[in-house]
Amino acid sequence: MSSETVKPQIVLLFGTGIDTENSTALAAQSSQLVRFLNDASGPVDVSVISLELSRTIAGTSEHIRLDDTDHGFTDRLLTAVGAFALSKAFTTFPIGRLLNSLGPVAQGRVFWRSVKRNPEAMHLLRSADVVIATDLPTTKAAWLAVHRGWVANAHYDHLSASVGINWQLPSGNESPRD
Amino acid sequence: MDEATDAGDAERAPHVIYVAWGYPPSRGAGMYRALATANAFARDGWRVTVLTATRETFERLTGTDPESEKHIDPRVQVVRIPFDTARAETDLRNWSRARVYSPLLWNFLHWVRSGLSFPESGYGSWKAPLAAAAERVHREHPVDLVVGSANPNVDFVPGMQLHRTHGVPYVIDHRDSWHLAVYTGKRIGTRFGRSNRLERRLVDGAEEAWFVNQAIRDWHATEYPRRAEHFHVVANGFDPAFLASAPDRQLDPAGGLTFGFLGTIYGPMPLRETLEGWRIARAESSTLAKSRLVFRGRLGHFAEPDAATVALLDEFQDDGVSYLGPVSKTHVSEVYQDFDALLLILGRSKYVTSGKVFEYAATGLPIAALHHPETAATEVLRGYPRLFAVPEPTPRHIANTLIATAAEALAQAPGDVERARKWAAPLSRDAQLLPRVSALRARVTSTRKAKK
Repeated sequence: MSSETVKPQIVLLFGTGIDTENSTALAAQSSQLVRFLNDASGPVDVSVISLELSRTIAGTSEHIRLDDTDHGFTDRLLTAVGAFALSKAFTTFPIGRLLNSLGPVAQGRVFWRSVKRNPEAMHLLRSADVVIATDLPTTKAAWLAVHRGWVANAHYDHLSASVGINWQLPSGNESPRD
Repeated sequence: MDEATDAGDAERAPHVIYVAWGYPPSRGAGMYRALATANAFARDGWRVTVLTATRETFERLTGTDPESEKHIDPRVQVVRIPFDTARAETDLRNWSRARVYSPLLWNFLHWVRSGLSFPESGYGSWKAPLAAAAERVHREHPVDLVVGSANPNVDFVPGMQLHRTHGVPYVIDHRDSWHLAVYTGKRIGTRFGRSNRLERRLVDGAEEAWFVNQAIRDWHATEYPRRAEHFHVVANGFDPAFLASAPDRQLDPAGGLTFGFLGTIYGPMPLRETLEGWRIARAESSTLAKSRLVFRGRLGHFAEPDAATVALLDEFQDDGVSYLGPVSKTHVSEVYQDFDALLLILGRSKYVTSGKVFEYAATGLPIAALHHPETAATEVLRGYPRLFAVPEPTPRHIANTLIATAAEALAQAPGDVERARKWAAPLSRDAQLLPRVSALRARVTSTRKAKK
């Protein structure tokens, strides 16, 4: 829990840039993030840790992108032996995806290794009050954070992936898109 | 029917259990049929109990349209049954180590387990609580009829259950189809597969089976010829409650027109052809050159717009094409009032009618039907007085149709909108539903009298 500031801190985790296709949220729906924000008695810090997410998210106090984090020995070895290339081929059929999910190239494990190798991300995760995994690959990191006692709450909520998307319901006058 | 029912007061309102997983506030398109059907029974004087899933289920799995709940008839009693609580669990403190290790494997095993109960991926775990709820409701207030609305097909379980244990008649309402792939026309699974055998038993025992269009009804009549006389078309329709009357106004040719599309863009729709046709039409018509084309609704089924569709619409931004985001069903009326003519863009399938075709007709506006004539919507709109259809959805034909539609919009005389709306009146949901509701009431009442 953060002790240096009175503002509660929520950290959103994005494990893939394209996994928002799993999200079926409309802005009118209440995501876990919105609920936390509504329930908070004062201002809240919202930060993001992401991998492969190209878009920017307005209103967040910190956005740590893990894409440039140095690969560790495991990832370099897996790359050298062609495991990542093989896993790409495996994603094209159901059994392949299942096998991918069981091994070291599973997106969840890749994301967690990237977090572990990034001190800023680790610090942010440890100092958070709430962690929201917006996609399946980030559930492992969020689960570990709550089970190790770093955070009080951890949720898996794909609706929170819509943060920063400016769809308003309804309107005939809003700008087309941001 | 059993003694409990026989002993009941013959004067009491007939009691129907209506089963629909996708009931408000679910956001699925089929939700409006479920909402309207339960309301229609209530208006006809039935005691109505709806069995559906919990609100949390929709928040987690399908998304919600919170406004839709306000349209449930207050006489309808809604019983919400928790659906697959483990799958809907969002608090990661409650996730097991195995689930975190491989969510995919966990899901797979979970689905296998639920499939043992009922042969429908992902919904089998709902069978037992659904059957138990139906028994409980029947014990408290004897049930005269069960109507199950699929998909999911597990919604047929309470009907089968009460028929088996108490002889209660049931109706199966197919919004879609269990074993017909509506886009390809191919059979799903083999005739001797588990779900096919179950469907055969279901159809054999059903009082009636409802289908959304003639083509789907006919396919099932071929599959189950012995029961074909019990098959009825109960088409989708427009919901008058959501559509206020549009103003019958004279348009100014100097100001250009607003063409509109309202719906979800997905699948094999001729969108590119439409946009290219729009560009050609603007080059050839001074009215179209001053006009704009507005898309409202969802680009794909997900929260973020489908990237390919966004890119495609962006390509035509300089041609007066804009996308103004999704609209709640409860506000479509306001959106239609901004449009002067409508574009009906649909994929080709003789089994797919779409929901928006009924709504479009109810606006009374000119409609450019930019879909292949084989599409089931063709039959729905046959005879609509302000219809302009393409012989096939190529850019050239689309351009010609748009120019003709614009001319119709500009030539609009007082009363044109109202005449078209009158034509569409039989396409309302009530007009589709009430004949069946009345027929079922007559049958239930006569059964009661016979048993007295």
